[in-house]
Amino acid sequence: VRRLERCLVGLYPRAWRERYEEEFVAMLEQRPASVSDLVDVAYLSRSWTSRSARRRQRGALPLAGRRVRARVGGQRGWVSVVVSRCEIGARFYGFALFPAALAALAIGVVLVATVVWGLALRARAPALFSGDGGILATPTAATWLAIVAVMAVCACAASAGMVRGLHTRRELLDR
Amino acid sequence: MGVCMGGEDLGRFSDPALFVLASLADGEKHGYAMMEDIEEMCGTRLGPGTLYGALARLERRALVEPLGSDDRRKPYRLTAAGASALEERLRELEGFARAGLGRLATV
Repeated sequence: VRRLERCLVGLYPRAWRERYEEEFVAMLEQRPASVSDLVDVAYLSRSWTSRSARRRQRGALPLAGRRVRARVGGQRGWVSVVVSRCEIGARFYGFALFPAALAALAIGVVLVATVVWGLALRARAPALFSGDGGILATPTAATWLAIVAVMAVCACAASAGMVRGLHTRRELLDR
Repeated sequence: MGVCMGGEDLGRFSDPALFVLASLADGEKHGYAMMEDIEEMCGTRLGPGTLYGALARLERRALVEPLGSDDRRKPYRLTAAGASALEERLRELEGFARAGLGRLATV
């Protein structure tokens, strides 16, 4: 089985993999997966993962939360309305902080690397830097600057999200 | 919209579940054999994820069951409830097809 297929199987929740991975991989080994097979495997992993997350969430919610959820009967719009009007424990806000911090860190690193790469190119190959080697034969320097600008905006947005999450969490913990 | 089968709601992917039950009707099969059989039987090629999605739902509802095997490929077979649900659904489809064809004949 190719590495890509292994990776796709890795998208499924652990409980699913513990039960089905071995036979599933054995089946994939018998027939080379087509592109549509790969899409199918990836798409179906989404439904298993969200189902598994819903189950975890249901277990994590306090009884009052479960009653609210049961009352709205799984209608997501209503769940959103109810959640937006409920007092939610501070610990439930913590779940987004780690991914937000990771996203901010990742985009920050890539931004710095892009800036360094552009400056190094400018120093070592000024002719290339001032030429038209950018996207769709646009000036290289302009393309680089545009990419750096977009990434800077994204880095700011990711950092703002993380800071806001931290701030909200601190406020809730201080109450 | 889910299709009910003898009181068993097979969920959104009711067709794959029906294909799997029909494929197992003539004996136990493992995943790959089911895919091949379904393709041969009705010309529909189920993706691996779809097949195992249907199998997992059917197993959870005790309509199919895995058999012990030394091989990594695990064979499945219909349970009595699965056979009964399949028969009931096929009869429904048979009645539906007959009624539809009857109406067409009058056109």
